[in-house]
Amino acid sequence: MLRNYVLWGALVGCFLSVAACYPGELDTVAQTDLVITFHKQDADFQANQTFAMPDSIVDVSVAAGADTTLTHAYDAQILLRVQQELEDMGYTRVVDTTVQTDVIVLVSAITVENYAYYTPGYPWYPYWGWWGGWGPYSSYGVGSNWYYPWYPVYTTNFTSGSLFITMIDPDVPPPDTSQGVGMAIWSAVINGMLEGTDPEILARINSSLSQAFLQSPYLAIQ
Amino acid sequence: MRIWTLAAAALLLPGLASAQGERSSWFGLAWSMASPTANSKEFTSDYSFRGIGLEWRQLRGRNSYGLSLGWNATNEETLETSSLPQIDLTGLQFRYINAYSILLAGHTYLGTSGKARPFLGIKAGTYYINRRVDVGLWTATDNSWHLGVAPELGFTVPLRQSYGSEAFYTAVRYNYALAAGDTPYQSWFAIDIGIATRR
Repeated sequence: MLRNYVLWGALVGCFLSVAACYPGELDTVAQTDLVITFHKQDADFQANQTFAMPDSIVDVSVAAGADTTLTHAYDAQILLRVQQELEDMGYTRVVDTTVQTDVIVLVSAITVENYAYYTPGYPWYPYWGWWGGWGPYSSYGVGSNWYYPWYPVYTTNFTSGSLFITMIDPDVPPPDTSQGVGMAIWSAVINGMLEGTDPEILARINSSLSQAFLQSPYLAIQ
Repeated sequence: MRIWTLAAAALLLPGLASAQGERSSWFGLAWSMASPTANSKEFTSDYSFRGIGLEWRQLRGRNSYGLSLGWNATNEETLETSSLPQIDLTGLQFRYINAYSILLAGHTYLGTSGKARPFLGIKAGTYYINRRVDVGLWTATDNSWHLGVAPELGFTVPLRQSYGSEAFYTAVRYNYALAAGDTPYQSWFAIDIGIATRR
């Protein structure tokens, strides 16, 4: 009888051991990298040839009046990479802010530490808050309202970062014109855990930037 | 749906009818592996070594009826781009299905007592299925209850001497959980290896 109990006890232990083994956990921070792209239905990307892009990455936390841990050390490299990707797809960057371009490309970022961010509102709203715009449109350019162009975003428990690229077409009116002119026709979100050295993080960002354009072939105009 | 219910009832009845004679109880504990098929395979394709089965049977002659509790977990790790209308998403995805079953069972046994005996069975009842996708820093899950059936075949091998009331048993079972809500039907083969005791 005792041997029976030993046998059953050993079997139960083995089965529980098997059950306790749960695979598929993260091994590296790079495995947290996520690239999401959105595009407006029926947007005519072929009608666009030129784009304008500010020379700095907007810190969403600062724009919201909050503290930030975002570094701008690699703004130039990131913006150059975005420019190169767009030029590879046939677009031409116009740096003269008095010249109206077909689209505006805005790059922003946020770092998050135990911070939940929520944004209500229309998912394809323009993000205008920091952009001075061109001369004829400058009166619309600076506003107090800005939005992520998609549904609510939540993050918790660790430092993570998100880079946002938003392409706005001023010829596409938003549902509420009091919020500005133009509407986002394409957006990319690059999200991941911010751990490792700066060069490592930059390499991951560059790789994700390439992926964002790779999975958006409809942007190509050539 | 009705066909499945009638089929399960027809197959369970012999086991239930057998309860009216001399009784002995059979209790089994099994390591349950799983091989997903169809919709389940599209979600998680890997063969799984994680699962447990608990089973109680009331024996009478060549038939039995009983209750079966089970858990099978399957998973898959994949780096891919998923597309939805207007949205494309690329990231390393960890996908999981955890399927819990509560099933009534009926079995009939071939061969002779005291030797290795094949058996055929049918189980029917409910499945609670949790499907989860971890991608990047995000998680998406859905949970659903399903009705389902599970035909199975297997055999028992009695142990010798002082373990005369114990037996090893193994079974292959096809689990079919009907669609529920937005969750399509789920199916998988379960391969059980266990030990049973008879009192």
